[in-house]
Amino acid sequence: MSAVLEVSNLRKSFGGITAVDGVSFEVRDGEILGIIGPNGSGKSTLFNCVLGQLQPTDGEVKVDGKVTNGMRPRDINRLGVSRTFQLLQVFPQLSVRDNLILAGQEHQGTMFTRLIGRSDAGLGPAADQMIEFFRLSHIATEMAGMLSYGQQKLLDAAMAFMAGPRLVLLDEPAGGVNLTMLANLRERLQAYHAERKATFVVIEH
Amino acid sequence: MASFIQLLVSGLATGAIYALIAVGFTLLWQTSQTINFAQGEFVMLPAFFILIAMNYGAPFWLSCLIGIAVSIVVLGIAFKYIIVDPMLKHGVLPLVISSIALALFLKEAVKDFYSSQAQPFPVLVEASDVHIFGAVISSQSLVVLAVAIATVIGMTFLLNRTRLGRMMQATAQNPTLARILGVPVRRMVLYTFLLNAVLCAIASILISPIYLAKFTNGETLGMAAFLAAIIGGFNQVRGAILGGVILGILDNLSAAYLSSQYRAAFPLIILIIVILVRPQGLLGRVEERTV
Repeated sequence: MSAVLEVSNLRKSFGGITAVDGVSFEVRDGEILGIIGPNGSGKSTLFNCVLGQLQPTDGEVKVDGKVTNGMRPRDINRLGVSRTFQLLQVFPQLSVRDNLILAGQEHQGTMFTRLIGRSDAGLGPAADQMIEFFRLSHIATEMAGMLSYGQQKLLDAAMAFMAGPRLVLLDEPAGGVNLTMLANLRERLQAYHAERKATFVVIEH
Repeated sequence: MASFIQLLVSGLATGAIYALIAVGFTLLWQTSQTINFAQGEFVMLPAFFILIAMNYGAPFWLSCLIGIAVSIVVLGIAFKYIIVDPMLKHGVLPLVISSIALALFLKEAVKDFYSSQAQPFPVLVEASDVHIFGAVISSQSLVVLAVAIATVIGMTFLLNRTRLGRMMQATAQNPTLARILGVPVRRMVLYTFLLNAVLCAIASILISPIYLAKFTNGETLGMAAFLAAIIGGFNQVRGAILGGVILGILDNLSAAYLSSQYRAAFPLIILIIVILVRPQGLLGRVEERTV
């Protein structure tokens, strides 16, 4: 199995504070890698560096053998890397379905094709499938901002999978979720992994 | 009853124009935290672009297209790159002050380089009266209402039923996530400025035959749009539409039935009541910000 993600001697400093100090690991195709550490140990910063939201101070990140240092988040996203967020990130005034369509890389194209193309960008069936898979059918037309925290967490996870990613970075998926919802989320993630052989990196305490 | 219908239709027409201006106001706020106090002048100016084109012999319809195109360049692209982008880096307040300065500059520039006199502006249709339930309604009011409603429907369609609109909404609601998902956020913000310029130009074409083209028009229109946006909800497009319509109707009815001398005071009274009872506006939503 080839390495989907290779992180070599990654370092990130903010002024005098070093948040990530020489981290190295690799994740192979279909593998689930867990990263555990207390609050403030730099786990989310590590993800931010992998996804291009922060530029590492030193070290190297490779996705499928391609060095991604200096690349923009959208370009790394297009390489097939997606993530969930520790602090929930959804589009609160868009429906669950529209959130998923947006996450499915419907933004590709020109201004003209975005104006006259199909309003669901051909991603409607995929969004409906994802809604069903994550058992969100009863709230598919609800505004994301009106959902409970647990439901938003499920949506956040579903959005990460919409574009059929090679690699998914899950940032504290269990954080703040009640036990019932957590069991549901875990079961869905396991099912997705079994079904599609997706590669996960999971951060938890 | 007949006079009430008459006032209602003409109030709706004025309100629909206020709504167009207020919608631009809220769009700029949502996507880039730009509070544009020159919005009234942005409506005043396109009328003069059109008059200049007509002075060069272009027919009215062509002049309108030229006016809209020049507005897109000057009030959309140039405004964003020359004033908003450099100022926004320093915070919202410097941008607010800059937009007030821009309003003064545009007003004085029109006065000095064109005319301080009110200029007649062509009407979209020849004046005639239409009888509805005994009320005499001017065809001009109906056309203004129809064009404004069509513009609002078109804009709502763009925002809610196209991929481009969904990306613009995503940019307004969560730019960080939008950027990660690959939405070209900077370009979407630019499109919002272009959309605002088009809305201002259309409002200008609709209102100038009524108010005449005058360098001071922006003072009233800017204030009306600002009030409409706050009353309806600064962070909701549909709130701005509602605020504009309420303001237009209130303006007409209060002048006729209460006091024409105090007509300017009634919107402010409504504003105070809304701020006291529902500070987020009639359709607005509460926003939390960490500072």
